[in-house]
Parts: sequence; C-alpha cells; structure tokens
Amino acid sequence: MELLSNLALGFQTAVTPMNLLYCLVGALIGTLIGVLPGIGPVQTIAILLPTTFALPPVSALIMLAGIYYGAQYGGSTTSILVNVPGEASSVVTCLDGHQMARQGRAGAALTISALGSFAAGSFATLVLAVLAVPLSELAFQFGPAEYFSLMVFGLIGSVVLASGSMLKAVGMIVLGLLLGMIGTDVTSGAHRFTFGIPELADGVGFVSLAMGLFGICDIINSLEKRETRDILKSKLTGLWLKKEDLRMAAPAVLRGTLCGSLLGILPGGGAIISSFTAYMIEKKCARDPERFGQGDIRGVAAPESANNAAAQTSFVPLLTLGIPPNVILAMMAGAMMIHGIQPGPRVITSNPALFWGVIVSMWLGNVILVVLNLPLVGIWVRLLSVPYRLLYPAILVFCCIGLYSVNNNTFDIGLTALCGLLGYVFHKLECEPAPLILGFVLGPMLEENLRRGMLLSRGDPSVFFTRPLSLVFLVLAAGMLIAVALPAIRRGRERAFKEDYTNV
Amino acid sequence: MRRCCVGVLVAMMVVLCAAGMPAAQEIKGPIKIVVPYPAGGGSDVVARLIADKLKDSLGQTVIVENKPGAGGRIGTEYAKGQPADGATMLLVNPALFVVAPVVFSKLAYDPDADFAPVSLIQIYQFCASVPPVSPIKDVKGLIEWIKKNPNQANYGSPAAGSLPHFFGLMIGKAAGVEMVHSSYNGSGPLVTALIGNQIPIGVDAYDAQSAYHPDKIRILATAGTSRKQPDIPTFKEAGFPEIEGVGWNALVVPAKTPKPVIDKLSAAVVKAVRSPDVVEKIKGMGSDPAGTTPEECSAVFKKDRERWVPIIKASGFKAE
Repeated sequence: MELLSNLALGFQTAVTPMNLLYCLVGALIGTLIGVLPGIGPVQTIAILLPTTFALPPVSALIMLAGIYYGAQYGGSTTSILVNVPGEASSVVTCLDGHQMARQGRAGAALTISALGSFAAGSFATLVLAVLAVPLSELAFQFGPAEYFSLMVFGLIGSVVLASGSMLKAVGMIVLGLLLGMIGTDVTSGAHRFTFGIPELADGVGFVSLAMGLFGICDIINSLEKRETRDILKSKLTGLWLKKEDLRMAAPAVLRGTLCGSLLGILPGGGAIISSFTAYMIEKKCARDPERFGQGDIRGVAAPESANNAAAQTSFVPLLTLGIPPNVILAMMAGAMMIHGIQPGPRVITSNPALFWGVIVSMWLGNVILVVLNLPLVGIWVRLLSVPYRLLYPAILVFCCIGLYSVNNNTFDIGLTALCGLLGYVFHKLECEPAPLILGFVLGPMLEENLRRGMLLSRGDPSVFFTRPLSLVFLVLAAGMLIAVALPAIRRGRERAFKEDYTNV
Repeated sequence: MRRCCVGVLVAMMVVLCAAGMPAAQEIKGPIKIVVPYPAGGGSDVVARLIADKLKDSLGQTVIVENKPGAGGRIGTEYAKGQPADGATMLLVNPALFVVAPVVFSKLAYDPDADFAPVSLIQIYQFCASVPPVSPIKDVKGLIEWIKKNPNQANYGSPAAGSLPHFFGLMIGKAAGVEMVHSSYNGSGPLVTALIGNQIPIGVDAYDAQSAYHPDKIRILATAGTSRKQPDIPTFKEAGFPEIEGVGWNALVVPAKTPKPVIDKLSAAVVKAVRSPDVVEKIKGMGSDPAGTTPEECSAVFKKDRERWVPIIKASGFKAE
C-alpha cells in the first residue's frame, strides 16, 4: 500500500500543467537530438543546464530526464533510415533496421522501435518504482572479479553478432579490444598508443568510431555504386506492422526489456551494452539465426527495447544512492546539486515528492513519446525518397556538427573521417564492424577490472574463481564457448578439405 | 552581404558594451570561463554559479566553455593560446597546476610562465574512509590495521596522479607500509566499491563522500586544519599532524593580461564567491567558498607545490 501512496504522491507532483509541459518539452527535444547524429543527450543537457536554474528542481529534473530517454527513442530513427547511429546505444539497431529500410519496411522498423521502447519504458518505470531500493544493492555485489567475468562472458557471446565468418568476427573483436587500449592507462596514468597527441589521451571517441564505421563508411559504399545509390531498393510497403511482425517481435521486446532493465543498473554504459546483449540473446534464441542481419524485425525490437529500459533503470543508482552510472546521469547529479539537492541515499526520504514525481513523469514521458513518434513515422519514411545526391551531404553536415559538439574540438571530425576509411577497408574485406564496436566498449572495462582484481589480490588469480558470482559468469562463458565451437568442429570435419569457415 | 551585417552587429555590440564601462580596464566581452572538464561535473557547476554572478557585476555576458580531455590538459593548453585581454579565464586545480608539471615530461603549458592567478574560488578537503562493515573505527585503528595487514592494505583513489592518490601514500608512510594503490574511474565508482566492501580503504575529496557518512561509508578523518563535521576528527587531532592538505579550484588568466584587468576580475570574482546564495550552494556541495586576491592565490599555489612536489617525486609516479 505504501507503493500506492507513493505513486499517488508522484502523480500529484508530475501531473501539474507546468510539469507536464516540461515533460513534453524534454521528450520533444530528446527526440530531435536523438535523430540528429552525433548531437547526443550529453551535449544537449550541458547546454540546457543553465536554463534550468530558474525552474523548481522537480521540473528541471523532469525535463532533463525527458531529454535523456527521448534521445533513446529518436536515436533509432537515423540508424534505420540512413545507417547512421543517432546515439551510441542505437549502433546495433543499424544491423537489421537499415536492412529493413532497404527492403521498403522502414515504417515497420520505426513503428516497432517506438512500440518496443514504449513497452520497455513502461515496464522499467514499474521496476524503478517497486524494486529501486533492493536493485541498487545489486551493483555492490560486483567487485573487479565479477566485472571481469561478466566482460569475458559478453565478449565470447559477441561472436554470435557476426553473420559471416567466425574467424573474422574474432579478429574484429580483438581489434576492438586493441583500439580500446588507446589512451590513458587507468592504473598507472601512462599514455598508451597516443603518439603524443593529447586528444588521444582519453582514447578514441566512441561516437567517432561508431559514426565512421557505420555512417561514413556507408556513404562511401553508396557513392561507389552508381545504380543502387538510393537507399530504397524496393517499394515502400505499409507503415503499420503486420500480424506476423507483431507475433515475432513481441517476445523479443519482452526479452530485450528484461535484459535492459537488469544491465541498466550496472555502472558503465549500461544502455550500450544492453542493446548489444539483447541482440545476442535474440540471435541465440532464434531457430533461424541466419535471418539476423538481413532485416529481421527481432533484431530491431530487442535492442531498442533494451536500450530504453536501460536508460530508465540507470536512474536507480542515481536516485537511490546518488551514484551516476554514466556521463549523462553525472550531469543530472550536477543539476540536482545546483538546486541544492545533494544526490545520495537521503533523497528518497528528504525529497519524496521529487523522487516519485520524477519516476511518474518517466511513464508519462513514455506515453508522450509514443504519441509523438508514431505519427512521425510516416514523415521520416518519406525522407527515404529524397535523392541520395541531396541526402548524403546533409547527413555529412549533421555528422560534423554533432561530432564537433562532443568536445568542441575539430580533432574528432578528422578521427571520424579516418574511421570511415577504415570501415571502407573492412567492408571490402567483408569484416563486420559490430563485433569490433563491442570489443571496443568492453575492452577497457575488461582490462581495468582484470588489473584491479590482480592488484588487490596481490597477483593471486584465484579471486576470479573463488567468488561465486564471478565463477557463474566464467562457467557460462565456457559453456557458450563450447556451444559455439562444437558445430564448427563438427562441420569442420565434414568439410575437411574445404577452406570454409562456418556461420554461427 | 551577410558577413557585413554580422560585422556591423558585432561592432555595435562592442560599442554598446564599451559605453557602459569605465574606459581604463575595459574588457571586450563576452567573457568566457574555460572549464577543462565536461559539463555537469563539480568544477563545472561552480564555474556556472560564478559566471551567473559575474554577469551582473561586470555588466558583460559571461559564458562557460567546456573543453574537456586529457584530464584537463587540453582545455588548459587551449586557454593559454587565447588573447590576454581579460576575456578568457580558466578554471584550474592542483592536478593541473601542482601534479601535472611534475609527472609529465612534455607538458604543453607552464603554470607560472603561461598563466597569472586571479582568485581562489573554492577549497575542498580530503578524507579517508572505510566500508561500514570494516573493523577499523578511527585513524589509530586504521594505522594499526595497515601495520598488521600489510598484504591487504590496498586503498582506492578517484584517479591515478590525483592528490588523493598521493594522500594515500602519506597515510601509508605514517604506518610505515607501502600500500597498494588502485585508481577508480572517478568518485562514483570508488564510492560504489567502498559501500560494497570491495576495497578496504578509500581516499577522496570529502564532498564526494560526505552524503554517505555514517550509514554507507565510515569517514575516519578529514585532512584540513579544522573539522568539517562535528563527529569526524582531522588527522592532526588524531595525532598525525603531517597528514594535512586541501584541494582547490582557482581562476587564472593568460599571463600577459594587464594587471589592472586582473585586479578588476579578481574583485568581481571575490564578490561573486562571497554572495550569500553562492556561499550556500558551495557549502551545500560539501566544500568551502574562498575568494582571494591574485597575490593570496599565488601564495597558495606556491605553498602547495612545496608541500606536494617532494611527495610526488618520492612516489616515483610518472605519467608518460
């Protein structure tokens, strides 16, 4: 019953005309910046932060939160339409979403990503309301050993991301890990592979890498082919989902939501990792995994649900403990401090109206977003009929603006151009970029936690096996390795004389 | 045509701004405060608070420009190259002005030659803390525990080469044990590790941990000259007078900025820092407002270098 009275308090706070308005404004801005590639919620919130000084703290947080999860909605749009991930967490949506668009099913892809996001957002809000406090304890069970083993599990799992050669997928993961090594070593502070360039001291920017390997590379490829330049290869089919689509997507949305809700709580890029993980789970669960990467609706539904759920549950550590799990929420913490609210374990008791008001506003925001986004689907799809010679310069310009705004530095634009060329080479070699991106995201965390674990145990590797949670992840990883390798070995024997690497 | 319009507009703005100011120390606005860290962090919040106040007292637009990267060194190098006319200020801290010159062999700036201090704006204390389940109850217990368990004496700091990193070394020195240092990616992960009992000792800025004391994290002592909170002693009171030191945020300008302009900026900054609502907000964040003359600020830089440089050198820590 306490929950009901809490939610009632939340509704009282959130359903005032002013707070509803700020919720709408936040969701709208979030959708817009999500659609613009490169310009992410981080920069937007930074720019808008001073304008919230004059607002009451609840309204300010409601608006900023709206920008954050609104961006998760909008981020998928460019992934699907033009293969440029609007947000880091939408990278994996490119894989199947853009293929769907090329087959004339952009409407279905956009619709399922909006509906999936809505379902996930609603569920995650409920999770936040009911389980916020017990869930926040989960993060404390994760020491360096647990994180390391989770990363190992994730990396081995990521092999299934590849739709082509497994050897190449492993190669790309390793390359991603190596790229992740660039920058300042967390333990010693030494610069590695920076070649004396200070901008590289923070490593290769994720946005640069993702945008280069997907967006820029795609443009180069399209320009190469004179006749198939226009994105639309076949006629547009209906905007709305078919029954068959819904039947396939619904369980994917459910799995994605669960996966995102859980991973969002862990610090360090929960939304990105959850979208990758959801995709991997989908592909592993499917009876016909070879359809992934060819425009399978499940490949859109699952990651889009996951990243939205994760965006929402990542508020758990901030609201319950004051620990921001990622940069965007660190900025929210900054916003709270400006309003004289010290983010921390005392927020729930000292500012219950704020805590519950923000939670309820998230659900309202999700309603607003789905109402806002569904009618937009038709407009976005029409964008595909714009001739490519007009479309691609526009994409490039928006990419450059977005990239510059990340650090207010032109270095990132040059780096992205370089990554685009690299992506083109990979494309020619038929190496897929998705496993590389995952290796790049997980690599630094893998290394940091491996070294911290070894450092704290004074060089004794047994910590990774003696801590129960860590052991579970390692056993799961070993199981997955066997599951992946067995068919390969079996088929390898059958085709002993063919130099053919099996599909996973 | 367009460029011409913009030119006229800019000229008009300059004239308007100039008209409202005494001619002697005029600053051609808009003034920007370069924060070499991402928006939303602790130092960014303070810069924005002050920018808001300076707007009124200087009668100019004051904007905060975030130039993050390389632990603040990119923004610092950027500010060094800006015109020395008072329109660019830079927010700095001990990591940039005390530690970096010692640990980087090729640093792109020289704190003394390239910059002139304006004012100290905020002072924060360091603290040592333990997880709530820890058997360590006070500083004496901490030193004894370190002596008894040299093989488990690990401590965490928010970053390699940060002042808390070297502060931890000082604590180890007091116990006569070389503690193993593990750096976390910022204060948030360190707090999580402490609450979850993943690391036995944490050293960080007091304001990063005060919200968790005493239920989630037990703060043993702070390192300033006076208590921050009635129930937490200073290291000095606990019998370790050599464990002392504070961190700060200060504003500086490119070195060639004329002295009258610096004095004018300094006076405005002091007024901003000491205005009641800013004082309240800075205190609410767990640190103390400062507000000093350029000379006092310079003296703090010098004193802190004398204190820390031997410790940093003795640690053998090198970033490149």
